[in-house]
Amino acid sequence: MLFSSIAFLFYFLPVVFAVYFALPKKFRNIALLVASLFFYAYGEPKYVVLLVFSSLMDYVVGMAIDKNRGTKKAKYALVCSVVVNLLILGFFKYSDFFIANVNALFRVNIPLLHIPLPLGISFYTFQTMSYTIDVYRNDAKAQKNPFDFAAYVSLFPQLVAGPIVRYQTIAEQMTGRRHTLDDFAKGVTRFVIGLGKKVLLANTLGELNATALSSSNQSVLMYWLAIVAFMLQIYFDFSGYSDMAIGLSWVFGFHILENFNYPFIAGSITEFWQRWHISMGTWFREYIYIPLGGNRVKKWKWARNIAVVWFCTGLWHGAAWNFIAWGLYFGVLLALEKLFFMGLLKRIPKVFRHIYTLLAITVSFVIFHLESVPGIIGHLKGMFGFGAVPLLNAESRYYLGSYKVVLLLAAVGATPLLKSLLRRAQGNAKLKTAVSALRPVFVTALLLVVTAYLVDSSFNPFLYFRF
Amino acid sequence: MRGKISDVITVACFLSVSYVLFFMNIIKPSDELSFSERRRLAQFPELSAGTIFSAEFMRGFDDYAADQMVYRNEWRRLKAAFDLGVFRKHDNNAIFVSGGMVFKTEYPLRESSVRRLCGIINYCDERFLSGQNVYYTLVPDKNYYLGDGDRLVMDYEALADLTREHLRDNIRYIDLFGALSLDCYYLTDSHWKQEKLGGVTAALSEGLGVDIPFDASDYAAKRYYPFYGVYYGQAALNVEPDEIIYLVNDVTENATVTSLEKPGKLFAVYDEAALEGMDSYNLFMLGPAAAVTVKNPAGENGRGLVIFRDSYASSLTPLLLEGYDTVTLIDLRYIRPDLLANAEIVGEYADFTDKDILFMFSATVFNNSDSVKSAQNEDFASPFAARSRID
Repeated sequence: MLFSSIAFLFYFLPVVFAVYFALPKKFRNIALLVASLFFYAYGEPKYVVLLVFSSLMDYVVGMAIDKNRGTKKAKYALVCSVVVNLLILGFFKYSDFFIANVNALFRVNIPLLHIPLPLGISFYTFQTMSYTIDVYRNDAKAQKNPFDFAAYVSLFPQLVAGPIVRYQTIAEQMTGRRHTLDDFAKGVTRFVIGLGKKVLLANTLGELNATALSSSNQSVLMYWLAIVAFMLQIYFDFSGYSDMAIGLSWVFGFHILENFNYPFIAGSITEFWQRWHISMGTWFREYIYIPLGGNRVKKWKWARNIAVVWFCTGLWHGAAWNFIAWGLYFGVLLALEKLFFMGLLKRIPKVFRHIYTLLAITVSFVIFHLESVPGIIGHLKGMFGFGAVPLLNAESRYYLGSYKVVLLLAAVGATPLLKSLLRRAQGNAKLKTAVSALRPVFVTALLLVVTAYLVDSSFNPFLYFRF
Repeated sequence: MRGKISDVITVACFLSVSYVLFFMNIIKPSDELSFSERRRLAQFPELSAGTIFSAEFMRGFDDYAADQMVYRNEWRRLKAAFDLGVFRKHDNNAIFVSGGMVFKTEYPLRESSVRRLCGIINYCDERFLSGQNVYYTLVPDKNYYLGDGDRLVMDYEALADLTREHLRDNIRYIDLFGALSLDCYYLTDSHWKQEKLGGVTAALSEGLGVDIPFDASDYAAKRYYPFYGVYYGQAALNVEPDEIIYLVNDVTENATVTSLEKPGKLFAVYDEAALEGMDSYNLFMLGPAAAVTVKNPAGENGRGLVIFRDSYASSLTPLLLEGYDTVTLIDLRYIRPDLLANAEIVGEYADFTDKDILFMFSATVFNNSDSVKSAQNEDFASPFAARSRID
């Protein structure tokens, strides 16, 4: 089920709220579990079995590790969990990619399996692995209650597109969370803002991207419009989903970590990855990079660690070579910054740091978006004026004019400007009162406008579901 | 306002919107049709183990929930107003309003689509029309006359050139571009106004070599208001509806229409009951139909015309009865061209002997020719394709 759907907003959510808050606290996790399984089954009725299996297996493994702590059995149990989770992920997500490469490499013709990708599999397998690893490391206690554990794995606010919630983050909240009016109000505000980011900005930018990319009348401006719209679309789509997930979690009393922190204002690629998809970056750092030795090893090992982590990061985003190239591109940039450029970047004026970072990110999104090498090269050539295309034409002027307000709103919305204005307003009693008074008006108006867009539009899946 | 009061009001507003719409949606009976969008609305999907496990039920419910949302038209208006008013987009779902007239962007020129329709016309010409007088014309959509430099407008000259390049040499072109102007089109609809077709009949008269006299004062003008054209609902904006004027004289009153799909019945050229239906433009010549023939009982010159056409020909045809005793309209969007060889199916509708043949398609259909059936398309059971508009 999609958050940005009438079915979710005006059928599912009212029922879930009513049932959840009507029940005594001890039954609320069960209610969440049932709601989450329904939520998942609504989109993937068959694969709900896989979700339940993954939850059950890691619950049992967690118990086994806890029972056999300090023995080899605990280690075997952990290995079993990691291997099975990776096999599940590998089979459902990467089997056709693997077969296609084997076919190409050995000139054979093994038929592809064409297995539909289960929703959110990349997210929940990483979550369950984090649980067994945390229990093994003694960073978290094993969850004794299978229903509470299943509720953690399947928690519908973040089930299909993250953030990737590590078990240790919400272990205590599974049983000891509080529900407050403040959290509820902040939660619905955050949820509606996320909806607005997704429905009003990301979807509209998606239209621009699709139009600009498919144009048969290209120009330099059109190439830039396509990729800038795509960058902003991905950001508002994904961060909007994270806002909705975080907001809904607050409503249900959970406090999960932030996933985005205005990544486009970063002054380096290193900083960009501290601000973009934070939960995924944290997962790879905690469970792959640091166990491999991090940066406290010899240089060649460190280079290997970087390569492994960014190969995996790319592969996690999709079963295609362009995603791997995208990950490795960032690995190389991060290594270069660490080895050579960071000192220089700190010395040059801020504006140049941002130009460098934005340019590097823009190129990365070309690699991310266009799957073939000729497509990537052609687009980059077009952007930088090496294609035989005019700088601009009637079509690119039309679309720039038509989407200028959306682009401007998106560009401003991708910076912390509004947040900092609101924070400043907190220091002034009158402004603070005005902000408080306007909040319900804003939330209601935004919800109504989003509803209008949803009624007008057709089915519109989140981009990150395919990861 | 204190934070706690703001919290209470925020939560109350959110829950109010959620629950009010929840209960209203539950209570509201399902609508079958959307008149403004001219389409059938999704109904509650079939609930069974099969539809659940295949996720068909869920997909159907998503469509149902959006289609049957209370105040659907008002939501759509709000969306259009926000797109154009706040986002300042130049169009909403490719629809825009200029000078009180609603337009749909037709851009860019799709050469493959034009070539495809030319191929279908050539097929018909080669298979059925050898030795006949065969003509074609291109009906410009109203974007051509907009003259607004900020809009995206198809290259109509290139379109005309393409048709000349790809159609067989014996098919002669009749130019209508100079015969029309913006005021010849409805404000809220894509079609031309019947009472403004003097220039078109004159151009056809000259091109076809037939005298088709047209003087609006020779007709009585009947009127129908309000006419909400096809763009009215799509635009979801507050624009004035149109008035349909249809011209009546003895010829149109006495002419009889027969339809391939409704055998054995006689109809009038104007179906006034259609004025109150989903699309008032269906007033003319029974609306969308695979093949219809109109006969002028008072006709004396023995000449016949066959028009392979789209909907523009519907309102034009009654005026052509001044020059032809019979006019047959064949719509290849609803019947495959190869079926015209099957006398059992099409009978006299495909009798082209000694008749003038005119292929008359709008620029929009040339540019979106997927809707036109080709002879190679064998994958539908009925010889008549489903209607694209509800009639």
